[in-house]
Order: sequence, then C-alpha cells, then structure tokens
Amino acid sequence: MSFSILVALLTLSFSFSSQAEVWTATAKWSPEKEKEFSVWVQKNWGKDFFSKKENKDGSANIFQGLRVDCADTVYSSRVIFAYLHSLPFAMNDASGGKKLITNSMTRWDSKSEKEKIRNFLVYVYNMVSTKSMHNDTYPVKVSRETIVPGSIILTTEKNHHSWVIKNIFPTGIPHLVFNSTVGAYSGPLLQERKSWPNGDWVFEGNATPEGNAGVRYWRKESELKLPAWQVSGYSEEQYAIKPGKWKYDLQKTLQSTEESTQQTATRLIENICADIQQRIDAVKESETFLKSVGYRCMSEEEFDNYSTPSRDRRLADEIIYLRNFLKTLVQDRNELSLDQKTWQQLKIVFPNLTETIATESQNQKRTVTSSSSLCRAKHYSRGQGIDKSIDLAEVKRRLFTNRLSSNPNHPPEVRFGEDVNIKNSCPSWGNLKLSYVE
Amino acid sequence: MSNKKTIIRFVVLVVLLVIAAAIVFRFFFAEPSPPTSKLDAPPQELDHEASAAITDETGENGVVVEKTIPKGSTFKDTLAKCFPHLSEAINTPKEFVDNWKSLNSTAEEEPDFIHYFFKDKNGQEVRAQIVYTTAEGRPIRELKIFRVLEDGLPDPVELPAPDRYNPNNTTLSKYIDFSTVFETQKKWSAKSPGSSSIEVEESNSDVTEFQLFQKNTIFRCHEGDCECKAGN
Repeated sequence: MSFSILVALLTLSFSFSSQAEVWTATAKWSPEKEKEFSVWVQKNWGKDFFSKKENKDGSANIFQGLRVDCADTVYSSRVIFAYLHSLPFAMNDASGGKKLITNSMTRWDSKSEKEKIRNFLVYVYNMVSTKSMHNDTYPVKVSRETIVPGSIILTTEKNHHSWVIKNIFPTGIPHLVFNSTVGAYSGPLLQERKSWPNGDWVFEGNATPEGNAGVRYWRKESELKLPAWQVSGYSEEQYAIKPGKWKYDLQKTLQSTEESTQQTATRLIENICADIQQRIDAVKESETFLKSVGYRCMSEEEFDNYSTPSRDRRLADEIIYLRNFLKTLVQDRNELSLDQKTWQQLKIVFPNLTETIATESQNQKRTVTSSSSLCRAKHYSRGQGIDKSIDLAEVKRRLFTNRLSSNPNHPPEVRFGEDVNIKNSCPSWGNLKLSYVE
Repeated sequence: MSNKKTIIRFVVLVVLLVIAAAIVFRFFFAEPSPPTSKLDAPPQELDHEASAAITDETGENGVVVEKTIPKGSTFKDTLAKCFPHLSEAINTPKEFVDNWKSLNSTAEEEPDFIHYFFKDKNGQEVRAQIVYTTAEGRPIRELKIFRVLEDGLPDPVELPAPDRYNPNNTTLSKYIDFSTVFETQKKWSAKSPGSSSIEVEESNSDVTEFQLFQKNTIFRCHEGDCECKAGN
C-alpha cells in the first residue's frame, strides 16, 4: 500500500516538474523532422490557421483568435510545429541578451497547457520582428532541396515584410502565406498569394548579404549564436542574382514543368484580385478605426498602420507584371494561347498595350462592372453609406491616374478614387506618391 | 524468502524516499538559482588573437554553452589574405574598422540599433533598445524597454506611443538610467561613395563583429573568427 502510494507521489512530482515548461521536448530536430515540418506547413499552414474553430480531425483549434503580423506569422509556423511534435524551439533574444528564448521557459507554469502555449506565442510575438528574423534564419542556396515549404522570404529593412512558403508548385511558383500590420489588428485571417514577390522590392536598398533579404531557412539551435555566414547551409547565391531577375531565376530553378500561358494569366489575375480584396479589407479596417475614434485625425503610429503606399505599390507591380506578360504574348503573336474569354477580359483592362501604362490609363474610359469583369469587388462609400462595385479595369485606371489614395485619413470612397471633393487638414507622414517601374 | 522480499522492498522504499525528499526540498525550500545575466558575467574582453569561441550547444534552460574550437583563421592571418598591405599596421577588428572609417570619412554611419543594459533603482536589470527603422521611406527611432526577470529573459514593458516613437533625450532619460549602464551594444553600417560598405556590431565600443564588402571581396569577423572571400 505505502509502496504504491509513494510511486504515485513520485510520478506526480516528476510530472509536476515537467509541466513547468511551456512544453517538454521529447524529440530532436533531424533532417527527417525538417521534412515533416515541410510537409506539415504544406498541408496545414493557410489563411484560416488562426480563424478556424476546428482542426481537420475535429479537435478544437487551440490557436484560434491569435492576432499576428507578418513576422509573427513566420515564427508561429515554427513554434506551433515544434509544440505539436514535441520538438524543442529556440530563438535569439532580440533585446540583446545572451540567453536563448526556448520552450523551456517556466513563466506560465500555473497555466493550463493551452494557455501556456498561447502565452508563449504572444511572448514570442512581443519579442520578434522582421528586424530580428535574420538572427534566427540564414539565406539558402537556390535549389529544390533548399527552397521548400516552411522556408521563409524576408525583405530588406526598407520594406520590412516576410512570408512563409506554404508550397512550391511544379511550375516553380510559390504559394505564400503572410499577414500585414493592419491584418494583425483586423482579425485572425491571414493572407495568401501565388507568386514570387518582386525582387526589386525584396532587395530594395541593399542587395548584398548585409541586407539579409531573400529566401531563408531556420537555423539549428546550436547555430543560433553564430553569424549567418558561419551557419551550415549558408549561401550567398541569391545575392549574385540581379534583383530584377531574382524571381525568374528562382522559378526556373524550382520548376519541374512549364507553366502554360493560360495558367500564368489565371494565376496573375488571381493574385491581383486577392490584392484588390485585401486593399478593400484594409480600407474597411481603417474606416472602422476612424469611426471608433469619432473621425479624428490619426496619430503618426495609426497613420503608419492604416496607410497603404507599399500595398498600392505592390498592386501596381502586379498589374504591370500582368501587362508585360500580355505585351510579350502580343509581341510573340502568341495571344491565341489564351482562351478567348480571358483575352477579351484582359483587352478591357489593357486597351492599348503600345502606350505607357499611365497614358493608356488616362485615355481609358470608366468601366462599369459587369458579369464579365475581372476581380469584381465592392468597396464602401461613407458619403453614400453603401457598397460600390468596382473591377480590375477600373482599379487599374484609377491607380495609374493617381486617383487612389493611400492616405488613411481619407474616406473609403476617396481611397478608392471616387470623384469626391473632400477637405482634409489632417497631418500626413511619409511619401504617399505611387512609384513604379514599367 | 518473504524476509528477503521485505528487505528488498524496504531498501527500495528508502531510496525512493530520499529521492522524493530531494525533489520536495528542491521545489519548496531551495533558493532559486541566480539568473544568468550580464550582471553576473565578468566584463567582456575580446582576445582576437585567441582561438575562436563558437557556440555549438545549448545547455539547460537555453543557456548558451560556449566551446572553444581551434580555428585556423584568426584576424591577423585573414587580414593578411584579404588586405596584405594592412596586416602589419592593424592588429584588431576595432583598428580595422577605425581605419576604414578614416579612409571613408564621408561615409555616413547608419545606426541599426543601440541596446543599453542598465539597472533600475532596485538593482533589477533593464534593457533599452533603440531600433532605427523606416516607415514608408521616412526614418523612425523606436524605443523598447525590457525588464529582465529571474529567468534571465526579458519581459517587454508597454510604453505609450508618443514615448515609443522618435523619443527625445528627455524621454530617453525617463526610461534609461544612463548612470548605471553597464553594457552598450550597437550595430551600424556605412557605405562609401565607392564600392565599399561595412556593417559593424560593437559591445562597449569594442568591435564584436563586422562585415566589409569591397568590390568582389568580403572580409568579415565574428569574435575573432574571420573569413576572407575574394571573388573574381
């Protein structure tokens, strides 16, 4: 009797001590575990990861409701996989401390298991940023073995953005999952896109290894304190590629099958439609915020969070990319490789490919949304209190005639380029003028 | 036979009791182990001529265990490979960086971050981080404050937005007790009008890491372990 009680007590004591950690790592990272991580990201990482109530197996999603920005999204993928597979997680302390931040932290030992992991994630979110990410990752060689689901893309500091590579299609095109700062405020839904970001934007300001941009992968715990160039697998290959060629080189290296022109057109249109919808959501968030504060002028920090110049530039880049793709098709007399419907739809968006995009847009007539429109969407009008329809052709016309506003103090209809006169005496920060390269 | 069984049970019980007592004592009576922090560490002195200390394993609770692994590429050897004409006159990474600065006096230092490690009135370690970044093309300085808790890890302190962004000296003094600063870490970079750029990390004004990019040459060191990469 006393023997069994004692054994039970001892078991309890041991389990008590192990519960003190966020989770106990019983497994170790290995090349096989890295492959499992890659497969897990491919299958599970998606825009609804933090919004879905249940997992595929019907169990409750304990991560539901967490709000993440782009860096948080990247770190979450690694922390959550490590937690779910009893693997260790470690990252550098961005405050400059020598000690690593790991799953062995005991700050939340009185909490339930769910609360412990959620608290740990929030702690990680408070510590990390795109600025700290290069210390926990390293730039990889351009190959099918090293650029895999679970890898990340980081921009230079100038544009401070990051993405998780969810998948690489046989065509060499990635499926990316990410979020924005506004996204972190607005809700738990993440964002997705199916294309490489523009290399000129990713490497803007510093295309050397010093800029830390490009595709990167997670460091082993034992290599976290090393400078990146001493980490095993470190490669400067991406920095030898001209930024303007980067995405094409990556696609070429990673592709196992050619993408048909129709597939390319469909994918590029899909990306633009997603960008337009994300802009609509961002402007809605901005409007909700303004309403909540009685439409006062935004502070500098609020202005930064809700303004959209970078987003608008990315949208412009995507539209130009589609237009250049179409121009090449026409030059090569290959437009018949597109199906008739897509060709007709694109002719409405780009009526004069021989002109510059600005001239073409100035001469373009206002389009009315119809059933054959590309990217049909609805944006809110504060003045009229209704949602108004818009499509890709009209967004493009307004964007390249400088009608769209990225100023978050403007009402939504002005941000979407409606011809409305407004008085705005609020201060503005930064350069909001759209810049692009054709 | 049954006597023998009883004796074995008794011995096992005693051993288990001792283990249990040790666990109970550890959890309820023992002093918490002191946090690993800069406070406890001796002042950092870099010996760039020594073998490189590289981190290759992590001990209990994430404390980094430093292991000295002999490396062939010390600063002087590597400098001789990359810049032979400088190898006689320059002995340390700091001298090398100072030399680069004097040769490129027009290159402007662009700060990346500054960390101040100091103590508050109660002797608790606090870290202040000033991060230099940009928002839509304009430069921003962001102040972050972390209290270091007993586990030796930081705990972010929430600051009001006006104090957080572009703080002036008065605001900085409100949060940082500069008189008790015991370590200052700094990272900066600079570009010369030519084709040379440098990225430097310092601790208490000593250079702990640098990377120089000059034409097709990369010369870099991390705590005395150096590399020279010369392209075509």
